[in-house]
Amino acid sequence: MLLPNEPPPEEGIRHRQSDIQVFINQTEMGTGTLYIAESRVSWAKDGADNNGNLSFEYPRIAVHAVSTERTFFPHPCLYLMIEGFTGLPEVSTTNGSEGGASDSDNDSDVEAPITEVRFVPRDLTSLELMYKALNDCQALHPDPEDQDDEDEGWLLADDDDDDEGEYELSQNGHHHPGTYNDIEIDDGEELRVGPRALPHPHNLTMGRSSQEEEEDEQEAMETGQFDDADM
Amino acid sequence: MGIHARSRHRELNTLTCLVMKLEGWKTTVELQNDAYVSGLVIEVDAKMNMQMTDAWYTDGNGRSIRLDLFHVRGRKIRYVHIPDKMDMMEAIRERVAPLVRHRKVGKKSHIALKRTEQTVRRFYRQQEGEYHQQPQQGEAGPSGHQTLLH
Repeated sequence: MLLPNEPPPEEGIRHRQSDIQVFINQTEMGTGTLYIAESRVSWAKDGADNNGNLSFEYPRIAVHAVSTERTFFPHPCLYLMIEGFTGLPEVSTTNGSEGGASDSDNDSDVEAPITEVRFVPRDLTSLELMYKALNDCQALHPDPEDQDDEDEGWLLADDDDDDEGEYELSQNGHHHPGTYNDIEIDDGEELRVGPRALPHPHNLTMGRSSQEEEEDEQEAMETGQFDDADM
Repeated sequence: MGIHARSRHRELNTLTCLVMKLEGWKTTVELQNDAYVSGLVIEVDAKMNMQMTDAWYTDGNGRSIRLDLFHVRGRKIRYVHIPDKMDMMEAIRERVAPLVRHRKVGKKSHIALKRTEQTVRRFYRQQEGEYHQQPQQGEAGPSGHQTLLH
């Protein structure tokens, strides 16, 4: 969260809604005006001269939702899940397992503090509009590209009117991990495929067609993989 | 590279294209905070930001709440369940090399598609090899779903 008393943004406001009550982790914090702007989400408390204002950046809004069910919270609201330290009272992520000893491939090993923010409007028809404004603004804040360097011979997105000369592709499906064939194009241009082009394979599990299973089975039989099986 | 090209680039080089085909399907998505959400997928963008409607959100403690509208940042997704009924290769094909009559498909799309098929086939073989080397691990996902790691 930014400086708690920052005044609301003045530009790029996609939606502005007054008469909004805000709850932080179920604690009521007052009534004010919500600004959903392209830069951030901001809430300004009525008559408080920017004291007690709230501000949230989009990369930290992991989830936003409209909830009208009253099972756990008595008012229909716009719900935001904020990650990381906000300077507000926090609840830690509720893991089903105890302590921190969960499965080894859990990539969020450190429990990130979560803040639950609920905006309760007087005008219920505004809920969907606010939700949509948040959708649009979230799209403006992609995460920084973590891995790829786009200049490195990656497979580039083609333009619509690419020249459709004939081309050969490697038909060989039997790659060894870690090596890649150069794909030759008929007009002499060579496309090199970067090694990071692939999704992480080690956790992919997918269903298989029986025909493919059969083919793979035959292949495995030939390579002697099943030599120790009881026949 | 412009925004559109970057999105398309990401689509062609990751399996986001497959997740994007889930629009209109009901499925379950597991988040990195150990919660999972089941609902009707409305929209998925190239960053895998996902919108759902009529969604049931279950947190790490097993508490469930219904959300009329739900949006999650792509980065926060851990698993996406692909319904059994979906033909994954066909879905990927449709996004990477669509059958559009008025427009010739770029050769790069075809290459991307071939590479994806090769990757998937290679992965099947690796899986098969690993399966026979290690003690049985718990099968991912409830029955009736295939599971795709983000």
